[in-house]
Amino acid sequence: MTIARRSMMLSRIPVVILAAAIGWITGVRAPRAQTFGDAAFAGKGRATLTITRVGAEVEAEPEPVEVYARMTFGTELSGFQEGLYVRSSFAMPGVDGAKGLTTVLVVDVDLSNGRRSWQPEVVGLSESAASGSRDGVSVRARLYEVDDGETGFDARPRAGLLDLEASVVTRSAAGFRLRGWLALLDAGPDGLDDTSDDLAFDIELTLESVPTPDALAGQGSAPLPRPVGGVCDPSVCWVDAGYYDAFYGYGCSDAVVDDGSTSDGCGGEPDYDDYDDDADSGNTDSGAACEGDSSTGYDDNGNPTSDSGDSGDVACEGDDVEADSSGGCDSADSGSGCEGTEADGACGGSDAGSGCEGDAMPGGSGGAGPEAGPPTTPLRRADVSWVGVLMIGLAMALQRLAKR
Amino acid sequence: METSGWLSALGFAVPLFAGVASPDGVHAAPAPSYWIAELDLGWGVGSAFPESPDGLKAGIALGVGGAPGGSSLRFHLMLHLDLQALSADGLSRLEPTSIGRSLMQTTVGLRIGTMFSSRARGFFELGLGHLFVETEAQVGGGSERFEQSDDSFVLQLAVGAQYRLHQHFSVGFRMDLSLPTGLQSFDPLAEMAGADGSDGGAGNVDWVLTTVFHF
Repeated sequence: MTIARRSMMLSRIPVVILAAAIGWITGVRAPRAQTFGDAAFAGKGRATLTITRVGAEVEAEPEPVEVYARMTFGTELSGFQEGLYVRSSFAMPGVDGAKGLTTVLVVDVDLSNGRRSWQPEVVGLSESAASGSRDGVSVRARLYEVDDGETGFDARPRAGLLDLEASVVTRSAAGFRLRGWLALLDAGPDGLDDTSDDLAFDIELTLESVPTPDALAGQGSAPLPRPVGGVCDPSVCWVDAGYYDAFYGYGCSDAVVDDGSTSDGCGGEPDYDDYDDDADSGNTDSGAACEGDSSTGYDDNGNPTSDSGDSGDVACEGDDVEADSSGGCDSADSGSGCEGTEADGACGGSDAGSGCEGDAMPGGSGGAGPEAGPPTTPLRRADVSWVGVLMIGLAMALQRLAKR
Repeated sequence: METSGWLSALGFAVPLFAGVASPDGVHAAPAPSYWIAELDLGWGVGSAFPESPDGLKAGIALGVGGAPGGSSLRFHLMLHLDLQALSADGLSRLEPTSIGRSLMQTTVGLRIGTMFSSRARGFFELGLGHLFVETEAQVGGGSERFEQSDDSFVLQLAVGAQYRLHQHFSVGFRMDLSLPTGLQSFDPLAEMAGADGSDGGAGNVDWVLTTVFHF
């Protein structure tokens, strides 16, 4: 080997090492190709809930409450070895306009063995995290109330069915949509089930990451429906602070809860709007999110406007949306709703102008698509690790050596 | 090889802190001291975390070095071990929450100092190390409790000053900026506690009072 050739090879070594160092720094923390169950991720999302409070303490006809709330999820928070923990806290609309207390919904599902469907058993749902999936427990859930720092009712599931409707893991993010229903029971002061002081809840739930799994998969799709004018079937609708919408972004801050309203126009107290008493507005709360949306000032194309709007009125964009909703994407169908139509393609991003927030989603027109939302990320920041530093140092040393 | 021997071999030939007054006020050249040991106590703000918790910081450090070849600068190789207990609460308007973080950080760095006078000096320090974080969050009015561990490579910058009260003893202060590079980009515990889980800053800032022993 000639000296010149040897010198040339030596001079290339630092470059190779430097490239390896950069590769290490930028890539070492990235998730390997993995399944949804294997991946470690956490993020924000949104919960769409229809909660029906039933039981002896609830008089007459149970009235469902539709809640749109923020949620947080994380695989490392799960009590299962490979699980997904989801938590959503929101201000539950109170009865007769009373200020609702904070209510928390927790769902923890076991993702091991590729499980995508869960049917809670009566026993063991709320067992300690340490129990893992022993005794066949594959899902835990809890609906409880926070009252001045104390726990109010604390309902445990008795039945239900949850499906992992969609899940996506990419190199940089993960997303999912969990849909189903749960029947939960608080045994009341006597601690005994099936007695007169029981408090029971039926919940239809859709728990979805933001960005949605559809968006992460590159499919334009409609997001969850929102309570807009005339299409909110339950007697009470409530969009809680922090509910993320791809079109409007975040409506209100957490600050809305205490004092009823804030300078940004977000209604604080849940606005209990009896559908029967207000048939023409019909739309419900329009409190937090809608007011927030109006004050945020976005037009139908998602462009910022200076018009703060008469927010408390008819659910902000409700008029437009309601009119457009005739296009088949109204929330009245929301049991399947846009979500459902999204599946069959009738309300996808291509259906621009239909009134679904999906219009703003990828493939739709304008607005901040889900990519503009908070990332769902299994990633860490690019980490300059010790190995990276040592490799760079080695590269620099070799560079000097090669120059000699 | 004796300590003084290998320090000399590295070029640290000039006694450190030469000319410092002795306790009895006689300006005799003190025996060279190559080693320093520090005890630190102060306050820190964990701006690298979404909820920006704050709390006490305590640390110890060991250094060795001196002024090479008559240089006016002092060079010390420093080894730090720092502990911090940070906390934040009341972040959520929906529910009572609290979040606490226990930090342990070890760094190795180079401290470069200059004498302002015979007794006072300032220094800058650059260090590399590792940060270990244990986080505990309580949400739902305490009805739910979460624990999580995280760790990261960390780059530490520090500036400070010291005043020598005695040949073997100084007091001073130091400001540290720790830049962890590999913490989780989204912190679900902070998010549940009411902060924006993706809103972590670049680094933590600490202010400590230091007591230094020279030997």
